[in-house]
Amino acid sequence: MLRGFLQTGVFLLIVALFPLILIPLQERQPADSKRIVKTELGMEQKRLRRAKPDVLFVGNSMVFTRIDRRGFQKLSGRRNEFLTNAGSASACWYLYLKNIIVPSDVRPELTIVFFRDQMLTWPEFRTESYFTKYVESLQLPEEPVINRVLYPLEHRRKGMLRQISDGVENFYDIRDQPERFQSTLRDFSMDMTPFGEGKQPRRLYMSGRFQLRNLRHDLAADDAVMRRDDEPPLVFDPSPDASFLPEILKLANEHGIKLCFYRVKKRIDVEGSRPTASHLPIYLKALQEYVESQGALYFDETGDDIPAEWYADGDHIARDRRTIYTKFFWEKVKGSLPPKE
Amino acid sequence: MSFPTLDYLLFFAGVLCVYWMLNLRLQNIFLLVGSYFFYGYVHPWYCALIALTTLIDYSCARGIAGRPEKRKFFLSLSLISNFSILCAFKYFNFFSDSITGVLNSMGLNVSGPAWTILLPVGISFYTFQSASYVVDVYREKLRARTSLLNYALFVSFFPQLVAGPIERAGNLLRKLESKRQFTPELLRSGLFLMMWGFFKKIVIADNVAVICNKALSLSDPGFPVVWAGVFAFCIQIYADFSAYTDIARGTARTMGIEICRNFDHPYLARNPAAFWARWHISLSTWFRDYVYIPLGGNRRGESRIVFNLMVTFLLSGLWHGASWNFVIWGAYHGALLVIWRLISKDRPGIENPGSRLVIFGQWMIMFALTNVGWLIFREKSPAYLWQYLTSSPFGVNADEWRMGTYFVVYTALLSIPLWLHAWTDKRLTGDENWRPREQQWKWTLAQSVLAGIMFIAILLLKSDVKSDFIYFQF
Repeated sequence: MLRGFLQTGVFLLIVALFPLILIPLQERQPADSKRIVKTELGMEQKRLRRAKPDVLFVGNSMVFTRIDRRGFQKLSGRRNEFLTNAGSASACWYLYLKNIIVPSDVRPELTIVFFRDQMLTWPEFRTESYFTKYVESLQLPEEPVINRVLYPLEHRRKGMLRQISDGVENFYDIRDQPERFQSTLRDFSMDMTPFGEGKQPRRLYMSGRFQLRNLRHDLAADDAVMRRDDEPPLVFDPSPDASFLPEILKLANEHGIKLCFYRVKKRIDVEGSRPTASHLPIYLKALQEYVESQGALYFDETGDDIPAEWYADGDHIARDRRTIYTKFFWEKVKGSLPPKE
Repeated sequence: MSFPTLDYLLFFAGVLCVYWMLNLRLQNIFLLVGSYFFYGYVHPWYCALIALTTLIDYSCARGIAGRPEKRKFFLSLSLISNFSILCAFKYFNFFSDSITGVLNSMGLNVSGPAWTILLPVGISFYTFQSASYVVDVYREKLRARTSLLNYALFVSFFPQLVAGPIERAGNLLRKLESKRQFTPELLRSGLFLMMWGFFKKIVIADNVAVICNKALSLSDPGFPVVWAGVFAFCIQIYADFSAYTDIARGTARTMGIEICRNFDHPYLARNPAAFWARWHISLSTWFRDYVYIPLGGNRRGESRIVFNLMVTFLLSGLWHGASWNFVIWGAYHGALLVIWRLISKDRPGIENPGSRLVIFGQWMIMFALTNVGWLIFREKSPAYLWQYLTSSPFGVNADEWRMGTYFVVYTALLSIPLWLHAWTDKRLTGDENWRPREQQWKWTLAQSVLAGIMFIAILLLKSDVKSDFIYFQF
């Protein structure tokens, strides 16, 4: 029995200490991974400062598959910039505002957030699975609002788990090793692939191949990453613990950022209309009233006549219809911008 | 609660520490409470459902034993209740949609009822496990248990509750009723098996899942990309499901309870019969014992055997999910078995040919057929399934071939540990005679270094994309 305990002790010790051989493998890189994150945020701030946009578009693919930037500039006479990422949702938009727009000191005439239905008050939406890493990349070391809103019931527990997880990573000094090893494995696989050209042309081919237009419509990102138990909120709740919206509005008001929320129209399906849940109009009315009471603007294009042929895949606008869509969009919002001298 | 999470590791450590300080009865009470906590961790109402199944089957088994004149009634009551609950949660919308679809295609404009309710994870597993107990009592293979505690624990035992293996009362219930003795070898062996499971899930399954999802997300993938994606899924589903089983078995072993193996290197199979003797063994044997043999098994002539096989595999397909692709998948495997039976009937040497080339050829054919099956299993859209199955290798551009080959190489590299494991299984993680071997120092050191390497790989190669176990959805 004593030998058994000794052997098990040795087993646990070896398993626990074996990964410490990682440390000598580390290249001298920034000791704190958060610095890397900060650098990325810093670059985005710099980009905004350089662009000095008069109109800033915030959102996901709903923005960059709709707005033709040049067309918008021509129509409005205003510089414009995108702050977007495919699949991003309200958690990311809050972080854009807090960690990029506010510290950049750029104050556009209007910051327009494109959203669909209940996305503004659905904090968990697109924060897990594929999106976890991106959401984390936008965070600073301390994000009390994210912790409070995203993990409302298990805030303290998540905090503890995170501490343990960070503790393990710090103990083994892991830093960015997973990314490096993953990338090494990918490169190695590419090197082993026969009849190859260089890696770069192959990467370019792959990146072009996996653009949105080449993906299956029936596997829209929403469905692919949504857990079955995820449901959008049925009623509008303006409390600061229920969503990021109150924090977004509070931040905007504190820092003199003029916000505009723009609800985009979803694709009309074959039968002519999308099934609309009965609670949605009540929800949207409450949302509009709340947003406007907080000094922001609210637009909704869902009542407008947007022809079905404007759409490409999902709720995206076809590339060759973006110019005409941008014109439509400008007509809708131009009254909210002061006349350009 | 899912296995590869910190939540589970903390839960497991807590349970294990307390568990070994208790006597048998308290151990079982504690495990039952822990199992319900585990199951209801995200959705507490799941617990009500499993408790209901437990109570029904416990009472029916007692009824069978206590009132033999009404044994058929109690058996029927149990089976109807179990499968009604299962159908209500799992198949209601499937049948409703299918019937509505047929009526609409006939010009009758009807809209069927829809029930938007979350499918409780693991419902198919524990329903089958619990139902098998009542059938065994009815067949007088088992005596009806008087202890509701032990029976409830048998149905809800947390390591294998959500994705099996589907245990039989003759094995697990007996072990839960017997005294367990702690030994350090038991702990070490269980932890090692758990580590191997975590490695397979986090390093292999989650990484190849990215390749599979990517390849099969294209609207017009070329032939090499389709089959690279299917190959990735083939590796993913095995690594994923067998990982769950290994973590379950490892967890149970640390508590002194040995649960059955669910896999025996299925991709080494050289014919359909061998594949089903190696893949999801607990489900295959369940269908064999409770469907195929009661239907007549091999006893009633060739055409009846074909019928029995097809019925069994159609049901097995349907067990996996409420979707037509699973039914087709079941029919496909049933057909493969029938064909294999016809081919091998008058050729006794076919299973063990002398030539290595023939053996390799058999393996290649079976592996390719298995992959075709996985494509059917994964693809829910009939249009895409047809597009993929009919994609041609000719006229595909070179870039598409390069991308497909890259996906295959990446997947193959990540799957090396699985093939090594197949080769070394009995020596390293195998189950036969592990107890005496665990006491040797050289074995301890080898096991420790191997576990250390797996731990490093988990830290370094963990995928950015974490996904639930595939079989959770069943």
